[in-house]
Amino acid sequence: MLEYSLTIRFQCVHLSVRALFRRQGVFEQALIVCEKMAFSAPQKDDGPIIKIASNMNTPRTIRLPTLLTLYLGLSMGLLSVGLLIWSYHTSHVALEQQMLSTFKQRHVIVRDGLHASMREVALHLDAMGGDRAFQQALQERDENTLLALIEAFPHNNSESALDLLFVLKEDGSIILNATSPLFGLEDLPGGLKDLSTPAQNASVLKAFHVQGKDLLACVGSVKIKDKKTGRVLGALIGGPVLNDNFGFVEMIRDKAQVMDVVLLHKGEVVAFSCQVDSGVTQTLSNMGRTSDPLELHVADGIVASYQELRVQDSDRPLKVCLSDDGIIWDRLAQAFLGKLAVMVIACALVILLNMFVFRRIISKPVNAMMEYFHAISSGREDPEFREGGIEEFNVIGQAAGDMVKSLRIADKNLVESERKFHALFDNSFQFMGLLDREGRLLETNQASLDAVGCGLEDVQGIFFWETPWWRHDAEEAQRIKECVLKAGEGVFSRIDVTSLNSLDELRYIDFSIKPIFSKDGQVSVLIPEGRDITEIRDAQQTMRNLRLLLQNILDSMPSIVVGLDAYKKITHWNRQAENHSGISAEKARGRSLGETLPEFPLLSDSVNSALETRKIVKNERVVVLTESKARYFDCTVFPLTASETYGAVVRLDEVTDRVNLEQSMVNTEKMASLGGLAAGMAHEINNPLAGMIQNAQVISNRLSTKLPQNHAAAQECGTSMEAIQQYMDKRGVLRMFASLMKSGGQAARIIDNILMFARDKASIYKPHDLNDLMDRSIKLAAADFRVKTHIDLKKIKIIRDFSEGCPPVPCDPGGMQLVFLNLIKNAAQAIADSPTARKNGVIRLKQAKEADMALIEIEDNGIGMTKDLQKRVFEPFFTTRPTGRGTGLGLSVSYFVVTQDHGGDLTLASQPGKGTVITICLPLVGKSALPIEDAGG
Amino acid sequence: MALEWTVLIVDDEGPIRSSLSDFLEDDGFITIQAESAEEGLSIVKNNPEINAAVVDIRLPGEDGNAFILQAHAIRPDMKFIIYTGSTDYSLPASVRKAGVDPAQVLHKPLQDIATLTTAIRRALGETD
Repeated sequence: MLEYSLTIRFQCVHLSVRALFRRQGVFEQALIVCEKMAFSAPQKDDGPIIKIASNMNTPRTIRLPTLLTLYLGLSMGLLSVGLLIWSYHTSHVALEQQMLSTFKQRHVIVRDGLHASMREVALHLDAMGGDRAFQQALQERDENTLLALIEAFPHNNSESALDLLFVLKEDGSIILNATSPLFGLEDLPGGLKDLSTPAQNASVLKAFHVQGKDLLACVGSVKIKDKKTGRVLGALIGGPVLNDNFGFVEMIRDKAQVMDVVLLHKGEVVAFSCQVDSGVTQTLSNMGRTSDPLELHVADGIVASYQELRVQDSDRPLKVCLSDDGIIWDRLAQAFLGKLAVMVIACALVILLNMFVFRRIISKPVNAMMEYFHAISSGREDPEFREGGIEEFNVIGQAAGDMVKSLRIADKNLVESERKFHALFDNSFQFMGLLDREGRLLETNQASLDAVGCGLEDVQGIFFWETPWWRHDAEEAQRIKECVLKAGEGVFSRIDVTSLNSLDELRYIDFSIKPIFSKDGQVSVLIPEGRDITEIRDAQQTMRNLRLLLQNILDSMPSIVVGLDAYKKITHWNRQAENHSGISAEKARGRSLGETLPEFPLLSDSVNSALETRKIVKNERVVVLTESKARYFDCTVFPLTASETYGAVVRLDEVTDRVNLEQSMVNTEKMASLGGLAAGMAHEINNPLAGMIQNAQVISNRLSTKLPQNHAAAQECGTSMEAIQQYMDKRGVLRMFASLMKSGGQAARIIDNILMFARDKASIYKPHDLNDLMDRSIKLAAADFRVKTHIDLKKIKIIRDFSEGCPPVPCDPGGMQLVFLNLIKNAAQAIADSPTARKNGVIRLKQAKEADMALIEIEDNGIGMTKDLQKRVFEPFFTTRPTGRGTGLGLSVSYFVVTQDHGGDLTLASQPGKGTVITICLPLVGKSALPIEDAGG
Repeated sequence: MALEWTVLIVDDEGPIRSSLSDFLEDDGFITIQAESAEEGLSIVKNNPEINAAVVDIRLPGEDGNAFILQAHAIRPDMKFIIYTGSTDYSLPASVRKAGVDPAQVLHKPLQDIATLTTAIRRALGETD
């Protein structure tokens, strides 16, 4: 049977309670109660210490010396007794064998004695019949003589006394019955009367049935013959009756040398040697009735055995029981008892001696060790172990000391850790508890109880799903129940649930339940845990909203916005980015820019640079070539240095439309300038040309003979038109006029062609001589200028300071010519605006090679610009001229053409009242960018 | 012989103005010259016999278009021929309303001035 023991020791009162439990269920209940007591103790030190031992038998204690002594004594005693019994048994068996042998001899003696008696009977009868007188009397049938003779016949042996005596005639009939009347036998059985049988002259044991009872007799039969004739005269039959024949029995007793003799026939006592009612007779007669022949029986202080003798005329033999004094057995037993007593005394002495020796040798060290262990168990600090004379005990003591020390430390740690655990358990914000396997609440911490404002006693023992935490919603309670039942089957669950707190506020709980398994793999208890995640949830909701807002903001932006983490993996990907790349935000997240935006190969470098320098990196007009056209992007990388998470934001703005617009604006301005130039030229030339042609035509008219006015005028001058005609013909004047007219017509057509002039910007620039371009620009400016501004460029001194050896520069001749034209015009305008320089205006054009750049300076001594003006002068549509005079695009377009189209630089330096210097740098190798598609069309 | 028409010539370029005047007189017109729009307008006010005007557009001061509109306001029956050196000139709607159609816009230089006289005569309603 399994036993569970539970020991509770209250340290404060030094009280130990020990309880045994036979049933596991009860034991577990008690254990839970005890644990609660332990947990609820106000101070841990005062709480009970619980020792649990299960599945063990409580031993009865005994002291070691006693045990050893007892063991030794008992074993010695047992051995001695065993030996004694064995030797007793052996002696007994030997004695028995001997007795049996004696009895066998005695029975032989008895049988021989019986036979001798019977022979004696026959002799007696023979002797009686041999007497002449008897024979005479028999012949004469003289009964009285016979009787007298029989009575007178000397009778010296009592055991062969003729209790029965019949005298038979020769025919077998009875003459005389001399039998004692006591027996009442009147006639002989048939067999005895037959005188012809050879069995005559012998004795037999024979049973007679007289008056309802068997009469045993030893019967002799002797034929009496005439000595002379040898004729059978008759027979003499007789012998002693065995029944109650004391003499016979005594004879046997005497011969066999036994104590008592009993003769039995058919279970009845025939004769015996002692008193009939004595216990011995009774015992012997019982023995004879029940037991087998020739066995030794010992009872009532006697030892007996019996033998069977055949009896004629009876189906049952005569049993002769012989008994002897059983005192030999008693003596044997007494002898052994004496030995036993001696042995017991000897054992006792040995035990006492052992006890003495053990106490001297073993008790001391054992007691020392016991004291030591008592000291340990009573909690005494660092008890001392006194070493004794037994090596093993010393080893045990040392080992126990070490063990106790380590156990003390472990215990201390355990107590400490338990205290910590309880501190944690009760002070935790988390909700914690303990359920049994079926889901009943055993324990819960303070935080959980406070949450619903109840005490432990209100919820203890209740099914967890019926507790007040889930009072608000049956559905939640059902979910909890399912979780608990699952945990009861060993499955861990974790769900989000709602709970109502004591203020009836709905709280969101991150709830989990964990099964705890015992050693045999069964679920023993369940640990439910909960964490209030309402705030976290709210914060998460807020965060989610914020994230959505951020995403919406990002999505609403026209730019492509990409957020990157510190590892340059994509974290944000707005709708424009999706639209541009065709990659959804989910797929883009976590990938690199190279994968998602391969068309911006330099973007990664920009991001690296921004992350390293922590400065904004901006690349404008990055060209992306698509199948149909080039697209332009402004790429800006903002490093995220202010936020906790390091990273970067990439913004890509498509500026294709703007770039196209700007280029078309340049073109428009160029065309406008060219158009203005052409128109100015046409006007300038057309007017004099018209005057020339018209006057030539008027001259031609007035020289013709067709007009009557001509004739009248000729007559007034004393000549005739014919004479004039002849003269002019002779001198070729008319032909000259015709040539003049023709040339005028040609000039007019050239002007027309100039007006038709329009040029597109080349996509790849060929090298051009800048000096040549500047010269042409000066000429164009001179032609254009007067018409629009009424400023005569001829009044301004233009100095050409062109250095030799400057190689041709790859450029757009139209564009650069436009730039020069604009700048010269501006210079002339500045001179015209200056009151001092108007009279002696100078424009100096300088061109030189400087390293890998071509340097061009256009300097004037005009009115100059203030600082404020200088800041604004490159702004498009900014102008100082009155409305209608100039578009305000000249400088900005020039700047644009130089910097963007040619990769050069244009700077301005000016001092008010003294003049302005514009410096242009153009790379000698041309612009190293991708070719810009012609936006002019 | 055709009718005697009086034509005002408004042009800032002297050679053109005088040669045009000479040519028109040779062709039987009476011509009056004006150097600017302002001068032309005063002549129009003072000389009601003027039937038509040949007007340059680009003029110092007020331009030809302004002259035509004002002269038309003074003399609604007066005809105008625009004779301009600007190749990019386009006829404003206001001027068109004053009775100038595109056939009456001529560009300098004319290979044959007879084209101008023909245009004047057609504008004045003469048939060839």
